[in-house]
Amino acid sequence: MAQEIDLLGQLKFASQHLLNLGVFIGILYYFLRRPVSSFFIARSQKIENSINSAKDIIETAQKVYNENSTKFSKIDSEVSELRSNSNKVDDNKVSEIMDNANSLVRLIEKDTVEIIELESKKINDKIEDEILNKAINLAKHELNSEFDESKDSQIIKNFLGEVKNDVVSNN
Amino acid sequence: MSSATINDFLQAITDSDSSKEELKEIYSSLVKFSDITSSNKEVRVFLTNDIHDSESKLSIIKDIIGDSACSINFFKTVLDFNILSDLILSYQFFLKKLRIILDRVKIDVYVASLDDNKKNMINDELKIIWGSNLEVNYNIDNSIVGGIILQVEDKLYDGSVKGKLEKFNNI
Repeated sequence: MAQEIDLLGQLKFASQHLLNLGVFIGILYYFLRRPVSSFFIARSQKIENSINSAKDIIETAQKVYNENSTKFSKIDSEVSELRSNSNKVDDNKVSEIMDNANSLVRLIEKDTVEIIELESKKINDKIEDEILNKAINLAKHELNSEFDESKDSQIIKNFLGEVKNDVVSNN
Repeated sequence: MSSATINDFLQAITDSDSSKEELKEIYSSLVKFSDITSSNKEVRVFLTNDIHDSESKLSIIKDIIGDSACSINFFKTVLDFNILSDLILSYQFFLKKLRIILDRVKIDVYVASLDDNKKNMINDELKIIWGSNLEVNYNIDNSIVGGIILQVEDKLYDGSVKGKLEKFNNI
């Protein structure tokens, strides 16, 4: 029996306190609902704004990143193009220089051969001239030593005979 | 003045009543005159200079050519026509024209040596070829070795030993 009374008392006590708690919670809810709600709304708004601005920043950063990436890839392709062009130009230059050098060598070779041929011909002609001059001088000397008036008169007479024939045939 | 004017002048004196004898006199005076003017620069300069009057020029000419009346008249006319400078410049042309009119042939003979026998022989041969009306000038040139060179008006006949050797050299 005592146990029953105690239990009832305890229940009563508990229910009173539970009621108090409920009232307390209701009062609290009544008074704090708006400020807390507005606090949280403001807070959530602030967080949302922060998130949005972060998103914006991320988007802008992404955009900048994308742009820079495009630029970098463009620069990369330009650099590789320049490199290939420069390599091509170098190759062309080298082949051109080699061609020029080869043609120059061929020209020099040809000129040298021609010069050698001409010089040989010149030397041959000179030798022939010298031999001829010697022969002529010798002939002159021989003629001078063997020449007398009668021979000279005979040569003159013969030549005048030739002139006569020439003049007669021309007239 | 052009040679055409000299030519006209020549035409005028040959068409005039001048006899062949007078033309011969004019020719020999002109030969003397050309010899002096080509060898004596002072006389040539005096005669071609317009500062001096015709009278003084004529007196110099008289000293050169002598007293031949028709020759003096000829030079007087040349002075009157003011063509003395042209005559001095082109006397070879004038003499050649006169030789043609007079049927005379001018021959310059070049030999290595000359004696009377050779000279007579050459004269006889030249007369056979070109007739007796010749004007022959003999020149001795040892360098031709032997034979003869003839300059007949504008034509050259080379029968010298030197010429033959040169011909041989040129082959």
